[in-house]
Amino acid sequence: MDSSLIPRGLQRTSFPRFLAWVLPWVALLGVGLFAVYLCLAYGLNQTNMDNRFAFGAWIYLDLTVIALGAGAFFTGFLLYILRRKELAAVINSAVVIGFICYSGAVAVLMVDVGQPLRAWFTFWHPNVHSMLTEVTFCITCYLTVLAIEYVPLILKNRKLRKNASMLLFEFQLHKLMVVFAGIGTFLSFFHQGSLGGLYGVLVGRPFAFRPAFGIWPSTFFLFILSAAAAGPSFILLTSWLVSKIARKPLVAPDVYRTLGRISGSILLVYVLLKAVDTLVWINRTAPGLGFQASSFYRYGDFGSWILFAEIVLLGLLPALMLLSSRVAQHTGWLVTAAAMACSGIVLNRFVMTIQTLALPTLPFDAFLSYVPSWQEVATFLAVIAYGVLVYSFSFRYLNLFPQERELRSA
Amino acid sequence: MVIDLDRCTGCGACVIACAVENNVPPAHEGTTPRTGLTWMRVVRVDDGRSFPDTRSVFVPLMCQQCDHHTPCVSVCPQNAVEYDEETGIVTQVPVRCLGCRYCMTACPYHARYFNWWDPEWPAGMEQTLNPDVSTRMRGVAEKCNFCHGRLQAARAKAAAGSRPLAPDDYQPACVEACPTEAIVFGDLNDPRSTVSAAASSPDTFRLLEHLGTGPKVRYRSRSAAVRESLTRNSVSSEKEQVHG
Amino acid sequence: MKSIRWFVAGFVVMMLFGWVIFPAILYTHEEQPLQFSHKVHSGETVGLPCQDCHRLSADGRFEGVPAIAKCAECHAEAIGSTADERLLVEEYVKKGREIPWLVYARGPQNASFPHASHLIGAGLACERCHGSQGTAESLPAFRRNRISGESQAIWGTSIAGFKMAEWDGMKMDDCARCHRERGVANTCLKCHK
Repeated sequence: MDSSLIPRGLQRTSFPRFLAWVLPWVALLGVGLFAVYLCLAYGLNQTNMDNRFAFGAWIYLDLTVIALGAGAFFTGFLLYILRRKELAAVINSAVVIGFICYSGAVAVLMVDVGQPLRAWFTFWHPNVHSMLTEVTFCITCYLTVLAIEYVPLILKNRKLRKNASMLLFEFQLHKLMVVFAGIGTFLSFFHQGSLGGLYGVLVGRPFAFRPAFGIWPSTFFLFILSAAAAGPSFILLTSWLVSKIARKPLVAPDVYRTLGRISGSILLVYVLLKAVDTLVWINRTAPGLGFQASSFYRYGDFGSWILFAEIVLLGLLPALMLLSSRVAQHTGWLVTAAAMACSGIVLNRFVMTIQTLALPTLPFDAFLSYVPSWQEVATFLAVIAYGVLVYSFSFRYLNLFPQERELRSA
Repeated sequence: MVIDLDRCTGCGACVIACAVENNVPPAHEGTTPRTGLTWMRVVRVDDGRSFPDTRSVFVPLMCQQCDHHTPCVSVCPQNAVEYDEETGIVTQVPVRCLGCRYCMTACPYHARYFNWWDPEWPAGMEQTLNPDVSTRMRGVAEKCNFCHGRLQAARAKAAAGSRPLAPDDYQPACVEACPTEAIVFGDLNDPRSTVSAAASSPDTFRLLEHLGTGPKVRYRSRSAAVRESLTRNSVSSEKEQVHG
Repeated sequence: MKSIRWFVAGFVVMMLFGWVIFPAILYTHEEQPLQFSHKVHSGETVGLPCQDCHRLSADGRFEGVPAIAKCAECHAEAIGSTADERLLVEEYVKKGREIPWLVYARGPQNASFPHASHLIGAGLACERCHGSQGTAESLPAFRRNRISGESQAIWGTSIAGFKMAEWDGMKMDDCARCHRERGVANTCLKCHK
C-alpha cells in the first residue's frame, strides 16, 4: 500500500500491521492532547502542583528526556568532530531520538508555564544570571539544529528525492553537518549543564545547593557528564529495542560494544566525580548551610538507599559492566547494563527535582508529598506516545540504520 | 521589619489587611492551603508535646525580603523579580512573569504564590478593589512587596509637598492592622529608627540565617525555647506538629 | 530586470500595508462626546493655567480631567451659540452628568504615573509629555489600539515606534529612557503597581 515510500532494499511489515501498532499510540496521544487542552484552557489548577511543590512531573520529564536525548549531540560530536566512523551506523537514529526528546520537552514546557503566550519574554528581556535563561536559549536553538539535522533524513526518502532540488538541498545540508554538529555540541554542553545548574544554584534548597566553580555549581558539570554517559546508552538501548520489535538486526554487534564502551567510560568518570561531589556536600556544603546531610534522608521512603542506588547500583555497577569485555560479548548483558545506566540518570533527575522539593527547609515545615493529576500523567504519556509515533514513522519510511541493508544480505 | 512573636495572638488581622490592600481575590473553589494566595499567613508552631503541656507560637510569615543575593531574583529568566537598591525591597512584577515557578522553587520561605486560577470577585466586590495595586492574572507568581501601592502613593504625596520621603510616610497594611502592634516597620539603615532599635535587641533572630540569604524581616521573642525552635534546622528535628 | 520589478512592486505593497493600511485597521476612530478648545481656555480669551482644571491635590493625587462641576462654574448657562456649547449645557451641566471623555494620555492599568513626582519633583512641564494638547484648537479623534485597548498616544503615531516628537509615544521604553537620563531609579515597581 505504502511500499513506494519505504526505502529501497529494506523490509517493513505490512501496512495493516503497522497501523495496528500505531493506533494505540495515537489513542494515547489523543488523550494526552485533551489533557493539554484542559491545562491550557482552564489553567494549571488542572495539575496537582501547588505553591510548595511548584515543579512536578513535567519538569522531571523534561530533565529526563533531555538527558536521554543527549545521545544525539554526543554521537554527532564523536562522529563528526572526533571522527569515530563506526558511529555512522546509529547517527540517524540518534538524531531522530534527539529531536523527539527535545521537541517533546519544549512542548511540555509550553504547557507547564502559566502564561505560554509570554514565552518570548525570556528572549526579549533575558536575565543573564538565570540558569533557566541559558536553558531556554540553548534548548530552542538546539531544537532548531536538530530539526536541520533531521531534514536531510526526510529528504532522502524515496519519493522526495525524485525531486532534484530536494536532493541538491539535502546534499548541501549534508556538507554543513559538521558545522551543525559543532553548534549542537556547544549548545548541548551548556544547556545540559544549566539544567543541572538549575538546582545547584538554589541556596534556599540545601539539599540541592552545590558550591560553584566560577559561575557554575558542580551540578552543572555533573549533568553534562551524566547526560553524555546516558546518551550513548540510550541509543544502544533503543537500537536494540527497535531491532527486537522489528525482528531484524539493524546494527552490527561491534557498534553496540563501541557505544557501551563510550558510555561506560564516561559513566565511570561521572560516578567518581559524583561521589566526590556527594562527599564534599555531606561534609562541607550542607553543614555550612546549617543542615546535617543525613537528616535529608529521614523522610518517607526517601532513605539513604537512594544515594546508594544512584551512585553504586545504577552508577558504578553499570559503568564497570559496560567496560567489561566479558559483558560486551553478550548483547543481552550489554543492554541490561545500558538500561541500568539510563535508570541511574533517570533516578538522579528524579532526586534532583522531586526530593529537592519534598524536603522541608523551615524549622516548622513538613515533608511534602505530591501525586500528579491524571492530566499531568496523560501529558507525560503523550510525549512518550508522540516519540514512539515519530520514531515509528521515521523507521518505516526513512533509512535510520545504514547498516540494515548489508546486515540483511549477510 | 521586626515581628514580636510574644505579642502576636494569631488573630489573622494582618492576613486580611494584606489581602484587601493588595487585591488578593477570594479563594477559588477547590483551593487548598497549598494553592491559596496568602502573601501573608500566620503559621502555628507547636512544641510537639500533647495537650495540656503543649506550647504554641504564632509566626506571621511573608516574603522575608532577603538581602542582595536573594534566592529568587537571580533565577528569574526574564527579570520579573528585582532587588530595589533604593529601598532594599525584593519586588515581584506579575506583568513580566511567565509562570515558570522557578522562583517558587528557589524560595526557602515559601513566600511566593502562584495564580492557579483566574482571579474572580463576586459581583459588586470589584468596586472595593484598591486602585493603587493592579490585579494579577492566572498563571503568574506574586508575593509580598511590602505594599508597593502604599509606597508609590507616599512618594507622590511627598513630591506634592516638595519634600523627600520620610520614614513615617508609609507603613504596610499588616503593620497598620495588627491590634497588638507586634510588627514594627521602618528603615533598618537608619540607626535612630524604632525598627533598628528593635532589630538590634539580643532576642531577635532571622529564619534560616545559615543559608546566608540575609532576610530583612526579623523575629523576636523573649522565650529562648521559641527562638530555639524557630532557628534550629528543620531537617534535624522530627515530628514537629504543623498547622498552616 | 523582471525580478527587480517584482521586488519593487512587492516592496511597495508591503510597505503600504505595513505603514498605511495596518495602522488604519489597528486603531479605532472615535469622536469625543463634544468638542472643546484648549486654546480658548488656556489662551488669551480666558487665560486659565493648566492647573486650574487639571488639579493636583495635596495628597499627590492628580485629578486629571475635571468633573462637570468645574465646567459649570462658568458654563451654568450657554456662553455663545455653538452646537457643542448647547450640548454641554443641556446634556451635561443641567443634568449633572459627567462627560464621558476619551482620555488620550490614559496609560495601562498596570502602571501608575504620579503627576506630583514629575511636575513638582522633577519640574517637568506639561508639554514634555502632552505636547501641544493644551493649546490645541479642537479635540482630535480618539484612536484606540484594537489589540491592546490602549490609546494611540501610548505607542505613538509612528507605527515603527520612532518618535516624531518628544511627547509622541509614551511607551515603557520612553519612560525608562527619561528615568535613565535623569538618574532616577528604573526599577519595575517604581511605576508598575
